[in-house]
Amino acid sequence: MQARSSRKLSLSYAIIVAILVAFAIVCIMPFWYVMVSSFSDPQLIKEGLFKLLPTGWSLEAYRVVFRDVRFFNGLRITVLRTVIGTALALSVQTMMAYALSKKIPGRRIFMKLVVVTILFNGGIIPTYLVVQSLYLVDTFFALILPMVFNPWNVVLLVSFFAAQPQSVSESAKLDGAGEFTIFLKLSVPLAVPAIATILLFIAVRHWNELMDGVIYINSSNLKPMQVYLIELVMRSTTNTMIEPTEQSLTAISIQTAVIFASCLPILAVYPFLQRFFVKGIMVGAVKG
Amino acid sequence: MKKNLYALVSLLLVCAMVLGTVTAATAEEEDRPRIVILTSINVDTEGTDVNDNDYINYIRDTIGVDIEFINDGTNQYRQKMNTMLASNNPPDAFMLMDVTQRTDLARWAEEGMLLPLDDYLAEYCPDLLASIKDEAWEVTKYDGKIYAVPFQRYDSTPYLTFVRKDWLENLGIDPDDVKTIDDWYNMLKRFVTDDPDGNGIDDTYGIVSTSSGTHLTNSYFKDSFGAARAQVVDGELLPNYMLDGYKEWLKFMNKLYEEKILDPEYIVNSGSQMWEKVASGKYGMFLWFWGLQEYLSKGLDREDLVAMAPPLREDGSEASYIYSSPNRHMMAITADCENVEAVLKFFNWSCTEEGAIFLYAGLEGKDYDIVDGTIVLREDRKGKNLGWRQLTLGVQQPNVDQEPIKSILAQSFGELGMEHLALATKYGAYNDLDLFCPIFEELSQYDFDKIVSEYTDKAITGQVDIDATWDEYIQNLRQMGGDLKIQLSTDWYNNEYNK
Repeated sequence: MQARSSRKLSLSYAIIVAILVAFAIVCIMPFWYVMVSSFSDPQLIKEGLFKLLPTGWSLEAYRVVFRDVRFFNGLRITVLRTVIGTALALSVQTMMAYALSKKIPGRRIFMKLVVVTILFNGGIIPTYLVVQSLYLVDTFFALILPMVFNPWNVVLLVSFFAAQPQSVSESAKLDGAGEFTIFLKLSVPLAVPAIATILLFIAVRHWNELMDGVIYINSSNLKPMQVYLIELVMRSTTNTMIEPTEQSLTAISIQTAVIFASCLPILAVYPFLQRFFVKGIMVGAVKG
Repeated sequence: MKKNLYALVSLLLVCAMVLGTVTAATAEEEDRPRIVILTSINVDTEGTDVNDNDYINYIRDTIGVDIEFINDGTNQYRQKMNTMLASNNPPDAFMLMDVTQRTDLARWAEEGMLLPLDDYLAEYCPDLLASIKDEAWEVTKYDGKIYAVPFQRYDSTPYLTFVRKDWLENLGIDPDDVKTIDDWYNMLKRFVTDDPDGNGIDDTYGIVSTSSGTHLTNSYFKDSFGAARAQVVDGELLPNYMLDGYKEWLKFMNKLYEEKILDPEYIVNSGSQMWEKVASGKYGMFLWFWGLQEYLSKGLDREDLVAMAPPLREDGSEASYIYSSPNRHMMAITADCENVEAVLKFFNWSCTEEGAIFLYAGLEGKDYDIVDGTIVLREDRKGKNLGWRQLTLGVQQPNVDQEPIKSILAQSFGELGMEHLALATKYGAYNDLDLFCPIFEELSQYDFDKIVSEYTDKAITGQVDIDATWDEYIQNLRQMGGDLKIQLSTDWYNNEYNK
């Protein structure tokens, strides 16, 4: 107890806390700025009157954003691609990693093929041609299928599955369990920290992905949220350039409102998965 | 196991729902010719889809062409354009935009991806040819052929200098008497020394500016020193930033900076800081787009400003405000297009009277009403959605000094705004030889702008002695690709103008 209180009071501890608090502020400030700007009076924001708390509280920007059918359409597509894409990618990657963790014929060749795709990729135009020849361009599955396989995640999971004791699956086999039952009932539950981490990786990547929405999608009703967001951020520049008239609502208010509204759902997922997150990464790293 | 089964079934149901939405949305088919245009309509569309709104539906019905946009309003437009053109299913037409538009046009034309339009234009586009000026077409040429339809700005030279009217009155300066560079210098000097705002404190400046965006500080007075346009000197076509006039201009700007006539913080001012300073009432003059959007959005009044002509050159000839190009973007047609006539019919319609009224006024019953045979914009629709309609059309009627367009614009911008537009057009010009000079692939590895802007900033702010370093700057430019640029552009000039 005494040791603990002296640690609390020590100078080095105070310095560490101060540095961590400073880093936390640096991380939080941009998000805070976005939030405060979105709730402030658009006219005051236009005049550059930004404070730490909203100036002239206003929900006008949110009214404009929630009136825009494209916001909800983008949100719908992003939620769908995140849910379906994550479920599909997680299933494929987990099963592949499980198979590659076993001593099956050709395992080394398959592993090499996986690693090659980490080192080399086809580039945007060849990948587009593949997606196009599979008739996926301008379909929802163009957002899902190209991201189903991720070699990094597979390598991470392989090392995790390989580290599981062989004796567990052997005893299950003696009890009559098939390979799929062992995978589903034993290996997956034992690998939950790693799988939760990969799930977060995939989900966040789906949520944030911009380029596939830009390149593969032509129809407005299939464009994900990130495309809508970047269009909105770019909009103010175009307006000034082409339409020299007064805008009723400042662009920064709308932009910040959309960014804040679109960040919230994915942020809400973090607290539930965070406890697995660090553990998963560490285990994979050490045992890989 | 049962739980997993439920999860799988749910997943399949969601997939089916998504597929259903996709196929239902793309099931529309009509008889009229269909064209697909890759574009970047990145303005507020009042929450509607670019392919389904009153404006595009009106155009479709009026010209009888089923237009479909592939719209990318992100900063990745060029990537999208490159990818689509490299695929085996390019759009019928597409927008070439931003600073790379001429390089891209040259590249695609060279590769045979674009349709030469000269013969088609003569056949299908009488209104386009009558409305768009020669220099706008000139920029769309490659190897002597027209490969795109230009979107010529209606304010094709938009810059103008504005001076505070109350300061001129307080100091007894008649703006009509301010003509030469010396007159301007004396006026600006008095803005700093003679307490033009009458508060008894030495807190005023002559010019406010910013280095962000297009760095308009580099446009002040330049043409008055003969430093804004490429010129032939001793048989070489030299870019403006290598001329002796440029050196003189730098020295003049440095003098303004040293005497605090030019805002000492101009180099670090952001765009919004500049407008805050304008609103503070402590700065006498600024150069900006005639539309004054940012100024008006501060609640300031256009009536409080006097628009000025640029100072005369040393020889007494009139100078101009130099702008980069008459075109915002260009619309090219791909070589694979099967409905060239329909695409050109659409572009040509933009320059008919019907198309121009649609562009500048919008739709009857939505944006305007006809009162006693005159178009009257609705109060809440004045100046609204012009950018949206401009980008939807891709091409516009740029001649706004004719009726009924002139009256329609006046309703949006006011009489004084229209005067400012006319002055911006009158005092505006281009760096012609630089604008019309083709893009040379050999120069793509050199970054002249970086060298020039660095030296310019250092020279104006007094970090380098201009007389002592000018020769070194020129030598450096020549070594870093300048000699090659001069040689290529001089050859082009001699071929084009000195045959």
